[in-house]
Amino acid sequence: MDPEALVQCPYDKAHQIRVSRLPYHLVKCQRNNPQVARSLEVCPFNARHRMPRSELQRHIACCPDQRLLFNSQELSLCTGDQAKQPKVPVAWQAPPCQEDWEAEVDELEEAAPFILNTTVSDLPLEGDSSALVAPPNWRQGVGPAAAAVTTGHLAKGPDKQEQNRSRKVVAQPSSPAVCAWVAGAPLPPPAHLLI
Amino acid sequence: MTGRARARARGRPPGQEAAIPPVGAASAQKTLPSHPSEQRQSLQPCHPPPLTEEPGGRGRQRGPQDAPKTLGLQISAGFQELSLADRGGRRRDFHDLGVNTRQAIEHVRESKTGSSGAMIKLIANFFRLTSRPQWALYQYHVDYNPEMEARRLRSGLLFQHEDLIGKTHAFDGSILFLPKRLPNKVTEVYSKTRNGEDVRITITLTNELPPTSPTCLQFYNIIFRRLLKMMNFQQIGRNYYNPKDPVSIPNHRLMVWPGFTSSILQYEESIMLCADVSHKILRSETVLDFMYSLYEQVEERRFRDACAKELIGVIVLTKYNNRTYRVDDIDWDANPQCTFRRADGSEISYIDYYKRQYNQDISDLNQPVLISQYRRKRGNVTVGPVVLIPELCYLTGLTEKMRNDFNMMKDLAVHTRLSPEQRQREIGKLVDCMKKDECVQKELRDWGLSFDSSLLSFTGRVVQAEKILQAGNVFDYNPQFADWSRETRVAPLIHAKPLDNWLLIYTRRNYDAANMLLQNLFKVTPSMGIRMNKATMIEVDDRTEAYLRVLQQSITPDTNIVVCILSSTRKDKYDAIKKYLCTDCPIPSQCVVARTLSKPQTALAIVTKIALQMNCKMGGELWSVEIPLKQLMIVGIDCYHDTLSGKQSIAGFVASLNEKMTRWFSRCVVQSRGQEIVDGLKACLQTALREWFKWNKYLPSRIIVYRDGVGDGQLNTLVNYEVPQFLDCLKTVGKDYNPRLTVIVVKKRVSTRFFAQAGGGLKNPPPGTVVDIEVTRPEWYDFFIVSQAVRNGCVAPTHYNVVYDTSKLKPDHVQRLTYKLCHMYYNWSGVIRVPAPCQYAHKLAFLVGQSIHREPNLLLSDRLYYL
Repeated sequence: MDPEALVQCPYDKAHQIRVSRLPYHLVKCQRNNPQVARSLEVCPFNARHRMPRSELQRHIACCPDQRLLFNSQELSLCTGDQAKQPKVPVAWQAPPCQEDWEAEVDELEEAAPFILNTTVSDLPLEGDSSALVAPPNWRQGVGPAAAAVTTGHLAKGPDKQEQNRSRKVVAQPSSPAVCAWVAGAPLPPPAHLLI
Repeated sequence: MTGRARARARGRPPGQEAAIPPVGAASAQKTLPSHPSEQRQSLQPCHPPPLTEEPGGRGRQRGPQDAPKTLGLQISAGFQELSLADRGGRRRDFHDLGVNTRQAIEHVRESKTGSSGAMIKLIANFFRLTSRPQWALYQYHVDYNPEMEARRLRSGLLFQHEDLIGKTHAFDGSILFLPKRLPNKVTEVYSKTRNGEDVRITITLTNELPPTSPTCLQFYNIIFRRLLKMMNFQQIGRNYYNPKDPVSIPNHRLMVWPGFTSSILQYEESIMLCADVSHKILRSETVLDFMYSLYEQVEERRFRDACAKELIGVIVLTKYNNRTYRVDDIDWDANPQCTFRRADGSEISYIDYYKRQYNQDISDLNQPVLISQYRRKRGNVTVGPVVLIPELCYLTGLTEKMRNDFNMMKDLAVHTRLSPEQRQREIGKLVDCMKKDECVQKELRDWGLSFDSSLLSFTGRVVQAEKILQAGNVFDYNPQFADWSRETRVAPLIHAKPLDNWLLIYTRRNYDAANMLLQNLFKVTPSMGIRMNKATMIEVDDRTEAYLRVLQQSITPDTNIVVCILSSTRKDKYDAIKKYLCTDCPIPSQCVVARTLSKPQTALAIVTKIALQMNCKMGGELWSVEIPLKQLMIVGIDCYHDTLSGKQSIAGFVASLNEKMTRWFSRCVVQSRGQEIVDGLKACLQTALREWFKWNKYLPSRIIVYRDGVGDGQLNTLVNYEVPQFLDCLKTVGKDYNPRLTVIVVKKRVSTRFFAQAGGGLKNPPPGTVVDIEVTRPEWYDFFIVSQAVRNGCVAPTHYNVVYDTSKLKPDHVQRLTYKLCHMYYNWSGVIRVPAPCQYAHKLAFLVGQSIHREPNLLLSDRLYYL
């Protein structure tokens, strides 16, 4: 698109913005219209595309930048079919590190326990609900054990795919995070769930 | 809303307003008594917030329209700069003031300094600004009754009272700055216009600014620019040059204007002037001369196209007014004898205009004219294009051809590439000049300001050199040179990819070069651990189609890599090969220009480098350094723009795939022309995380993003537009996946320079020098690293600004990790200026932007095919 062309600002219909300046404007307008900002969703393919929640699904189906993710699905098929699963080369192992910065971070943190279900309120994002919400019964357990249960449950089979939405992933330095969708099941179809 | 504000909102040009003075004047009168300075705030809602993206046009043109705006300005100090910025430039927040990212990062609020390394005495190109104790700047608002429109008139009327306000002042039409406090808070004076009209001028004190207030900083910069103008420096772009002291390089028809880039900002401890030497390169060749010489080179029917290709987009300087313009078009139908309508309605030809206005003679009456569009509108008035005469326009800058001319660049470097001592001397000259100039001294004295006469000195740290790890070996390198090509020459690589089945394509003329390459590869690969079979050698005609046909016919699914020997640096052939092999048929490829293989004495060294590069492209790994963090993913982002030829911009995205940072995943986003801010980061990070998972069977618990390619004044948008994309993406992975994210903005083009004190003289600081005090900004979590070594000239430090950080990593570790990553760029066995992921992203974006123009095939995405 011609960078000089004008488009309408999603936060204020009266604003006509040059395409090339839109990101700058969106930042400003988002701050000036917190109420509108709460009701708008950001397209997963292109951060310029902002629309009311109700229109998001329809937009995702026809977003011109969608190919970004379709390609990646192709990729997963290709690599899977040809059994070209990359292998981390094992011929060389790095010698053990002489320092451990993780340990020093932990010192700083006064050994705060790792907590699941961390709220996102500490993130500087407003009105974003693209994160998936787990069904309430899954929120009872807190801690790595609960996560392990959830992943086990999810790995049962493709019929549970719908529940794959609430993948429990633990990000703790000592135990690698495990994702449900590795269990060999095909990826869940809704595009916004992709990873 | 005052009448003027309403007029502005409706978009009426200021000229029409004069026809209906009673409305504006009356309403102005009404509002005047109602705002003694205390109640001023209550007036604010009258003024709608500016709807434009960049409030404010050019001060000079806007003139009287300042007044309503000024009222709106008094709420926030930030807005005041807008009306006082110096004239003539695009008004942007080049220094990213007001982006206070540090306060949101809890663990560095107290201290952001590192600790490791050896101390080193450094000098930087900064001068402290000193002012008297209890210094303050007084800001006044000036009102006229009846309203006066013309800014010049407003100044004239005000300065009839010089005995009251003094000789020292800064006035933009409505805001007045004085170094002293007037006796009364509100002062009313009366002036007479030339027509004998009495005007009441109300001068109201609105603010008493401490030396560190943002408005004051803006004010210092304006005063400093005023000083430079007093010393007859000429503003070109953002910098100031001295046209009286040019260096001429006659054998290349070049002229160098020495000059300075300067800015006054609040740094860590104090307000300082940062001054660096800058050079403007002018060609003693006009556009007309250039057209003549081009005419002799190309056929007549291609002449116009050739002109357009060579000239559109270049910056020209017109010496009659020392202004620069960008050539946007060439009007072949016009010539200097054409006429145009002046503002007063009279018709005049270009010849007469230039003769009368600038006393310039035009000799070639049949030359076409150049068109330069103003890049933006001024308020609501669209300014027409500027017509320039080729004969009067001098070319500036260097063309690609000139850059490739080794001798020219060498002769130029004598003048532009200054050693640390020369550079310090040149910067010192600026201060000397200021000291000697009596007018400058007086102006500074009147404002109560002065600059330190010596450069800022402080101590930095040189962090420890890294150990280079290769298979079974650990190497140290000489930290002075920051290069380990000699040390690692014969060591086996971490991961060598075999050359079992590969193609070597050459033209008949280059058969010898191809053979030489093959023989030397057989010599160098065994010690690296690369297993190699003889290549399938294919001879082709030297035509693009011939190369492509061979590729289509000969590539099999087992082909490891394709090596093409090219006979010239012609871009079209290279582009075609790369495009085919990166999109339709995803196979790594290596192009070699035959000439680089022609010198027998250097052949072995060059072939070694080619072998390493080919290995990387096939997915091999060369070396590593210790990374004392687990489950860490590093991301690098850079953008490529080709605004001149109007191609689309490309954002390159690179993410590490393993903990040792030896394998990288890559994607790129094709964006509209000139776009620096990236829209599609969410999808990029998602695929990168998925790829990481495939490799490691878990997700990273830390993600560190190095973002390069951010221009001045874009920091705010970056923080509020790109960082949320990352956070968004991480949230969609899973509710409980909450890795620690760090976003670091990398900036190569900074005017900060460091000199190391060594004995009596100055040297470049050694690689690994880290500076996180004095010259950093208090509102940021930022630091400088000098990671590379340079042979001649001054080393340029790289600026790192951590804009988002939940990692809780110590500043020392972030600095050292950054330095470690500068060791990991596989196309250079040494330390580079930026972390390797940034350089990889740059390389990727460059290849795609120059040759491929669309996203390459993702089957290549886990290899460094773009090296």
